[in-house]
Amino acid sequence: MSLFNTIADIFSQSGYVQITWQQAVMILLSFVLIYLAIVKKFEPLLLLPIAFGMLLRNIPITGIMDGPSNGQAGGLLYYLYQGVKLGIYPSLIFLGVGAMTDFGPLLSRPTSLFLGAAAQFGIYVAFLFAILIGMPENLAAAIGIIGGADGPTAIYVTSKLAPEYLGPIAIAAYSYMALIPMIQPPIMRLLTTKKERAIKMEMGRKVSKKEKIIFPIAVTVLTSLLLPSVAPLLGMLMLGNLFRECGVVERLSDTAQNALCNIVTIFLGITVGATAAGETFLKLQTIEIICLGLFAFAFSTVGGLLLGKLMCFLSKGKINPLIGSAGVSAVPMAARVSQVEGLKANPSNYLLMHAMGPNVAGVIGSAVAAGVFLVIFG
Amino acid sequence: MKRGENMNFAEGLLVAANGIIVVFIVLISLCLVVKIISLVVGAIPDKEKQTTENNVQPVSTVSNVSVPQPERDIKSQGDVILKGVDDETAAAIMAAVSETARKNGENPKFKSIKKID
Repeated sequence: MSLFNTIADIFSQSGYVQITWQQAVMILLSFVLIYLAIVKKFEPLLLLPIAFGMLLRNIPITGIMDGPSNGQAGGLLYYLYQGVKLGIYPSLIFLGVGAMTDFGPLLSRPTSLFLGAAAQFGIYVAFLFAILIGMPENLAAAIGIIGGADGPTAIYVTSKLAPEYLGPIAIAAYSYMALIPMIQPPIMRLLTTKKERAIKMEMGRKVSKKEKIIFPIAVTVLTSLLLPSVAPLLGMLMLGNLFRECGVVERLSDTAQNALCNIVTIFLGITVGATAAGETFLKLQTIEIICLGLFAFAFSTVGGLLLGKLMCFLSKGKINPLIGSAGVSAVPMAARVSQVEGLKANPSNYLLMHAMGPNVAGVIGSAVAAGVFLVIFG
Repeated sequence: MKRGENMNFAEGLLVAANGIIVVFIVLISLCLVVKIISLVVGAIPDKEKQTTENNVQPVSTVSNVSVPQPERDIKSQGDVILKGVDDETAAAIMAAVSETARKNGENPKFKSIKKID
C-alpha cells in the first residue's frame, strides 16, 4: 500500500468528504452564534456552550450524540443529554436561580403577582396562533412557553411535550431573552405615555426575615398540590430561595448560586446545542417556531404593560405601568429594561426594585403556565 | 386530548382561556397567602426587636457610669466619647458594629470611639 493510497483512504473516510450541506450550514450558524456570544456578549454564558454543542453535533461521523449500540458505549453528549431529557438540568438551574433571587420586592408589594400573571398572556396568544396555522397542540404549547421568557421552563416543557423540537425552541427562547433590550422598549413606548413612564413609585414596606423564610415553603406546598407536574421546577426554585433566606446553610446557598449553577449551565448549554442537527433544524418549521417565539414574547410584554396601565389607573397614578413589562420572567434583564425606560422619561426615576417584584413573579407565573400545559398535554 | 393531535381553534381557545385563568387564580392565591403571612408574622411579637429595644437603654446607662472628662481633642456626642472622630463617621461605625453584633446575638455598648493613626 502506497503512502498516497493511505492518505486517500483517510481522506475518503473523513468528515470533509461525508459532510452534508445541512451540517455545513449549521457549522456556519454555530460560528455566528459564537461570534454573537464572544463579541456582542449576547447571553454568552449560555449562547457559547449552545453554539459549541451545535458545532460538535454537526461535525460528521463523530457519533458524539449517538446512543449506545452493538455493545459500544454512546457518545459523550448523548449521556450528558439525559439530564435534559429527564428534566434534571432545568430543575437544577432553578435551584441556582432561587438561591440568587430576592423575593423581598415581591413580598413588599404582593400585587406584583398580578403583573407576573398578565405577562404570561403571550404564551397563550402564541399557542393559539400555532394551533391556527395547523401545528400539533403539544408543539404549540412548547412554542407558547417561549413567551414566558424563561429558558429552563421552555426546555423543561419542550423535553416533555415535543423533544424533537428542543433545539429550535431553546435557541429561540435564549435568543429572545438576550434581545429583550431591543424587543421590549418599542412596545413599552408604544403602549404608555411619557407621563405614565415618568411616575415615581413609593418604596414598599420592609419585609421581615420570617416572611422570607415562610414564603418559599408556602409556595411549594400550594403550587405543588395544585400542579404536581411543576413541582420539580418550583420546588427547586423555592428550595434554593430557602437556602438563601434561612441563613443557616450559607455553603449550600453559595454552591447552588455559583458552582452547581455554572456546571449545569455548561451541560445544559452544550447538550441543547447538540440537539440542533442540520437535518432536523433546517426546516421551514424552525423559522415558524422562531417567528412564533417572537410573537409570544411581544404579547407577553403587551399583557404585562396593559395590566400595569390598569393598575396605574386604579391606584390613581401610584404605579408606573413600565414595571408590567418586567413580568416576563427574564431575571433581571426585563427589570433593568423597565429601569432604563423609566430613567429616560424621568432622570430621577428608579424603578429597578419595583420592577423586580413582577420579574420574580413572572418566574412563578411561567412555571404555573407550564404546569397547566403539562397537565393538559403531558 | 392526546399528544400530537391537531386541535381546532375553538378547542385551542378553550385551553388558552383555561390556562390564563388558572395562572391568575394561582398567582392571586399566592398574593393572598403573602398578605396572610405578613399579617400573621406582624401579629407575632418580635423577640429580637424587643431585646434590641430593651438594650437601647443600657448603652446610655453604661456610658453614664464612668465617662472620663473630655480632653481638648475629645468631642462628646451624647454619652459616647469621640476621640478624633467626627459625628458622621462615629454614626457609621456604630451602625456597622451594631448590625454585625446583632447577627451574632450580641448587644453592643459604645463607650468611646477613638481614631488610631
